[in-house]
Amino acid sequence: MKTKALVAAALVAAFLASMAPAPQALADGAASTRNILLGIGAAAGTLIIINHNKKVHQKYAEDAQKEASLAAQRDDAQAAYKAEVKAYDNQVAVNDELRHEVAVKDQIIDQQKVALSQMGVQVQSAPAPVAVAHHQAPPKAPAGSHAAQIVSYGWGVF
Amino acid sequence: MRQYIMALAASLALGLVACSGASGSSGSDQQKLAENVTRAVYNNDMESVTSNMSSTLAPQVTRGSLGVLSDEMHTMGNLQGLSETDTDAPARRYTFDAKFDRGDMTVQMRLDGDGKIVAYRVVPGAPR
Repeated sequence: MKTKALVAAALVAAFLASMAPAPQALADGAASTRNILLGIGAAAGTLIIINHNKKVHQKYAEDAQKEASLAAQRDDAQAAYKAEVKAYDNQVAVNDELRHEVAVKDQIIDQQKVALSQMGVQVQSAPAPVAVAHHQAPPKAPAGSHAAQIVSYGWGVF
Repeated sequence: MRQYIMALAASLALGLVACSGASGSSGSDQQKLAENVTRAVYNNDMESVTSNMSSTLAPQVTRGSLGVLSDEMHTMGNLQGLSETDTDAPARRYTFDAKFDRGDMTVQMRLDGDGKIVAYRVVPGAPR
């Protein structure tokens, strides 16, 4: 009787222990990841997420493809078909991620172009009416060395 | 005789004044113009900057581009003045050394036949 009571008590204790809330994971890793993402900017963070998702879906697609080929080897047509569909769906997801990545990069490029044009910065050497123009210095330096860039501000062509 | 000498001296003096005025005006006019524009750029004064520019150049001056150049000049300290260092009269190209508290900038200006500015550029550093 005493043994039964002890066993029952141990079971109750084990059950309660399993029900107790698990200690929270230290937030250091998550916080540092978050800080890094904040630091490099929202756009870069978006690109990292896209890249991660893309890799995950690529892995899924590869796994599903392997599964399909194994099923085909086993002459299991139904399983092979399902695995092929899964691989296709994952490949579609990869394509969507790529499309999203290109769109985000285009957006970043457009924003940078607008910022530069507002500053009147001339990106290339075309003689345009701009505030800041970067001209290659005449080739006075000895051959093999890099020519210094001359920055000039103002308007019109002197 | 005395009256004759007086008249001769007076006409000679007048001639000298006229000559000095004529020879000095062409050089100083461009310098004055360049100095006015440079001071206007330094003060971020849009109207004064564009008032002496040609009708094709004036619209190219934007608030943003003017601000960038003005900020660049302010990093050199106070504008002390301009001095002409090179002139290409046939091409109407003029180069000036703009002196600031903490260094020099080269101001390049080109004019059209009407004396309006068709190019105004500033390069950090003294003229070479």
